[in-house]
Amino acid sequence: MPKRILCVPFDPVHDVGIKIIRSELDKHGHNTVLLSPDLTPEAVVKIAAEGEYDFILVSRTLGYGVAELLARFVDLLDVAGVREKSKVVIGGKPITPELAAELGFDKGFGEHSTIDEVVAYIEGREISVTATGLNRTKKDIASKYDYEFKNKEIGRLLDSITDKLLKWAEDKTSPGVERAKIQAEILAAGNDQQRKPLLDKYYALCDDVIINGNSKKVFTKGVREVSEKELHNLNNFVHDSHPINPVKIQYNDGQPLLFKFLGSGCPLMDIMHAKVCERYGIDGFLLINPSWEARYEGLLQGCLAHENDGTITSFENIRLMKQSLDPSTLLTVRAHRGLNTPETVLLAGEAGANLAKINLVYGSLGAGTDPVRLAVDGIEAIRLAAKYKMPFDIPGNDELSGVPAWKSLAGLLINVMLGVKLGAQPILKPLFCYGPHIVINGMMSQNFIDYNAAKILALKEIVNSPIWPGEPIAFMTQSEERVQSANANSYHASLAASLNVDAITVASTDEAYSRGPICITSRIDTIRAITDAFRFVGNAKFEPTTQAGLFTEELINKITGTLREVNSKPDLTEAIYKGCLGNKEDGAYPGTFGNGTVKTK
Amino acid sequence: MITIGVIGTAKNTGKTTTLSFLMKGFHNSGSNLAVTGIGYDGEEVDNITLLPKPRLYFEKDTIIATSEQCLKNSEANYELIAETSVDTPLGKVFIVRITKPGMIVLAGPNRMVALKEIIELIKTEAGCDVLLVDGSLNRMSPMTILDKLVFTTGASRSVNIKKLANEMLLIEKIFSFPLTNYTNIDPNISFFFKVENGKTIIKKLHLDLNNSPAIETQISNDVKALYISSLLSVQDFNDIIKKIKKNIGESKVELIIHSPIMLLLSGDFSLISIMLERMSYAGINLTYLQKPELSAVTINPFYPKLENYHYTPSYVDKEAFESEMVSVLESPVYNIKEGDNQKFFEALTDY
Repeated sequence: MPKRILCVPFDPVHDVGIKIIRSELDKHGHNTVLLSPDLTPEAVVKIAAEGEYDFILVSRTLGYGVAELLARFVDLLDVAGVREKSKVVIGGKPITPELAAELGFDKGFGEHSTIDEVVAYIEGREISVTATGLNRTKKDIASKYDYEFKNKEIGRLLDSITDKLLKWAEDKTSPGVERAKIQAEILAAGNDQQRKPLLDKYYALCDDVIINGNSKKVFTKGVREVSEKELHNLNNFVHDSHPINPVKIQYNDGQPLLFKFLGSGCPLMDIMHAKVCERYGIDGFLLINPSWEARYEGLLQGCLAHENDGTITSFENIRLMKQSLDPSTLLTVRAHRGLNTPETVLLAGEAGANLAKINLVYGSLGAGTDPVRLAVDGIEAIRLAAKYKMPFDIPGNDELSGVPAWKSLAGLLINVMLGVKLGAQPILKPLFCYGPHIVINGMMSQNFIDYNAAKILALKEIVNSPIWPGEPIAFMTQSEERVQSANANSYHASLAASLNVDAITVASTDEAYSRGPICITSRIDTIRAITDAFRFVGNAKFEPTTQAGLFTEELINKITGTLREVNSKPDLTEAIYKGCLGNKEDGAYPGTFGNGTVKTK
Repeated sequence: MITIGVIGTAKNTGKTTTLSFLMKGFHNSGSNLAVTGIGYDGEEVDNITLLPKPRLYFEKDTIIATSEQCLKNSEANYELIAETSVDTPLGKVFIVRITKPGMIVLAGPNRMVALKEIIELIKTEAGCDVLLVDGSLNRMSPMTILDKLVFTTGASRSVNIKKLANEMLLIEKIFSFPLTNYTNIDPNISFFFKVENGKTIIKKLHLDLNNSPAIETQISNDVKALYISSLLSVQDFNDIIKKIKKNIGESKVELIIHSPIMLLLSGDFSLISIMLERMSYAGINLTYLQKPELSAVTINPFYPKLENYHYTPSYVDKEAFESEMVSVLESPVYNIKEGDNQKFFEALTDY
């Protein structure tokens, strides 16, 4: 039965919402009357009292003193007897059920309400607005690519470089490789009796810090076990937190997936942040471990919190995180930093993570691990990634040390070819920001578009591989101001969308200035800014200038030159030591963690 | 059962603090206490200013009427006494008895008829001595049906102490007009009373405020009283005063309206003040059909100051504020957070 509805826009400027709702109600066959926005509350009450309306719909934004004005309006309706015959409803962006109750209305609709909900309320129908879940499927970043090297010369060079590397590594092993094998047996062991001798073998390959932590529960400073109560509360939170009206970031299917870092040190805080980000449509997370974890042989076990940057990548922490996330949310675990690369990939695979982060070159030049050690460990890690069917992403963050883009990209391509040969699915992650070498040499003096675009265009001309710029995008273009940072991220994301990449890693607006764990509002800042940017750009594109084409050509030439130089050395590790992929002048130094630990089998 | 409401002149004038004080007092005196609210109160952070707020703690055996969502999120335990037909944006209102003390947010009936239903249910189902009704913002219409009222005012409404005192003085004056002696009045129909042949007769008053001659043609100098059922603005009152005065000359006439709250809602306080003077000068005596008693005034020097788009807690001079209010008002004035407030509690329990 059609309802009689009085629509009251108590606001001459912000009355578009009620006009849209009125139009929808008309379409549903209801009888609506729209008042002009300049009437006094008394005049509206008289119209409401004299007419026969089932509903009075009021639209008003809130400012100082407006709450009192609306409360008085509700009182006037009450004493005029209107509330005995009409339901009084308020709508507006800041309206919540609590605020509607406080103001005295029968119902309130806010920013996250849908027109369907309003119509259903008017018609007395129930509409489910809770527990919808994210209602999305898990995305596959890598499967649609065949890794064909369109640039045949680069393909040949990479073939040679990786062949030599694999041959070089054939008879080598390391404590990291051996521990991963033992760890696999530990995880498969049926009981403590089977586990005990394996643990002894494991600890024989570990540093004391790890042995003390695991066997005596004596941890390094700032590390503690997460309590049963904390886990119980987390479980309740995750169980009860079903997103209402989840947001989708991408406006069309061609726009990239969005990833954020997790690594506050506390797995519980990470999960709480992750759940909020999921509601805002985030597609996945990169789990970042503490820098000290890289220096020790062996990994800590258990659900552990760390009162500093980086979340401990224990099996239990990764599993907790994965189990707490929506099944459609992707989780990648950083593995290439330090002495536990194969073991971290193994644990990530066993705990159900979706991807692993491995770059043999960057891990050696920018992240402190000895090139020989990481080459041996990295090959094993990529084999494990293939075994667990986890694509691995290859960050080009050596460029942040000052390494020129072509050397960084050459390193990424070596990892891609290696991955393909070992049966894995590699993902290229070129740096997509204002890197130091670019700052010094002025490649972005005209704009931020051409050189970033050239990197992507160069990689696309070389190989048919997934591309996921990072890490994070917009790095070094952000300031302490949140609005500026959100804008910078949205511009970079829009450019990434224009270039048809598969995913991007996005920072928070306070990423560089948080002075501690980043806050959830700052995480949402960039997600919302990018969501709006994707809507704004839609299927249109940022257009690079002709300079981008010249940069692309130059990059391909210099990548080819770099790979020729690498190929001229006996093996990749030698090339890294000789600075072919970044030298001291560039700001890259071969790491020392694990030096001398590689042995012949 | 006595019913007491706490009304604020604005947000943050101390309604929750006053209510908490009264709850504690009645609990300590062994009364069977019931509590409800006409808005949403007891939350941690203000919905509008985002500043922290005092919360509401309920002792064991207190009866409360609040909505489904508030009960779901409460930290107190309770047993169901009655389900009501009253709906709010936070779900249906339930009447419950507290079995384990704790914090609960109050969101009860937010209109007059709904509050009436809750009062009747509490009377019949819970057998309480006292019902406290928490206000919301500056809302007051549902409070019309209560026995006693406490008004809270403070710097949140205005930082001008003299202005606050004068406003409260006007409210006091509005509540000082008596109840009518006429009986058997249907509150929904306007009437007038006149004397014909020595007898008082009642006639229906045709009140069309847009049609100015209508009242004039009905009112003559033998009219003794008239009751106006509908809501009137200050402008409407002024028009009626002018028309009545024109017809009754030097005679006196009684103007009956539903309640002082209808008068309070008629317009800006300064305009109401002038209108009441005009009414008095015209020989019109104002009376009410229904009237809660104004029992006390509480004051709050706190106000949320808007600076750089954020609210920060600020205060006016509390001694100067209290002294000004005490010197101007006849009603007892209390700063709940300071001084001897036992008298305040006694002022409300002299029934």
